[in-house]
Amino acid sequence: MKNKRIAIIIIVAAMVATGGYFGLMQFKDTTPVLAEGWGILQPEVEIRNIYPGWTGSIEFTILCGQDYDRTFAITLEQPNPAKLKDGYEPLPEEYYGWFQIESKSYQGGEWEWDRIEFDNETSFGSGMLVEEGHYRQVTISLTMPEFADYYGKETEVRVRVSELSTTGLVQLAIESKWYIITSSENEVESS
Amino acid sequence: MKKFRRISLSLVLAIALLVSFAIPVAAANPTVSITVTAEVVSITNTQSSWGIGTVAVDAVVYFSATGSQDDDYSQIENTGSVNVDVEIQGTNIEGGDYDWTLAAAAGSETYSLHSNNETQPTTYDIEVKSSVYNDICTDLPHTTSNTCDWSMKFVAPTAFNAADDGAQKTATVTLVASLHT
Repeated sequence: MKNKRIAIIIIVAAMVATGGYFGLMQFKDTTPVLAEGWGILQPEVEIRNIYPGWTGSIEFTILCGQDYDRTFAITLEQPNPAKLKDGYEPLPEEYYGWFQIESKSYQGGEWEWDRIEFDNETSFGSGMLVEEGHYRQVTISLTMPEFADYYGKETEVRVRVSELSTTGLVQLAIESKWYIITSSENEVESS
Repeated sequence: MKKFRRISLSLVLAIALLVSFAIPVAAANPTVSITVTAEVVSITNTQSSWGIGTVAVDAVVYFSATGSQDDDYSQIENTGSVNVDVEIQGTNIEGGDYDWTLAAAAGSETYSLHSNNETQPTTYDIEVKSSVYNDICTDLPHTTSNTCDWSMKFVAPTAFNAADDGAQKTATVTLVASLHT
């Protein structure tokens, strides 16, 4: 009986030590912390074989260094033609409406959600605040519309995060490379 | 009796075959695969402000504390976990009655902006463009030698409208980092 009690104490202690909560199984946040500056955590994303009607999402993380609070904006950008992946073409801007963003931030002790929709242009409006030493998770959803006629394409688009809080001439931005490959018409018809 | 059984069996098989053609099988969609690279891309840059001051036509001003040439005035540092490419992008200068267009060479109501980098420290031949960007640091390591010094050279228009005398104008230069692939 005593041995059982000791064993339970050891298990609980081990779970607490590794950052887990007994029963809930929530583990320690391993998101990297930047001492200064800011960054992103998913610099390259490949989504292969999407088809009309498909929808899916990626968790995208913006990291803010421990030096000060920052605000950010996300836009979709055309890749530099000289740097396109071999055989790929830029995702036409008319398809930027396939993207949607929901963002979650930890502010004032609570998680808050915002929904941001891309229009068919290249940008959306508001800036997102990330407090110093924290991060912001952004859910980027991609939906290929039911009747989209865009089969068998290998495309590239950049998800650009721009820092809005820097004043002065020189601004910083970081781009995530997204490769979106659509199924061929034959694959969709035969399936 | 045996014959009857054989006929029944044939009938059942025939019906089963017909039904299998008649009932459409639910289509399986193609398999979608998602691959995400989980690394940190992060850079810092030491100098962001540049008050060029009052400029005359054809004026040449460098990105520095004094306006004189200072080839390593600003420094980009790769503070992430992977090597990165850094590109530079500019905008037209706005303000006053006439905007100044960014171009490869200065002209009337047109200005030029060029940057240097560590491999071309004194030549300032990296054109800063508003549309397609040019590399300023390529394959910048994230471990040792993770910094890249740079500066810029501004050339004022060869002519501009007198209505713009004394007007305050602004532009933006953006350093864009991405994973080196």
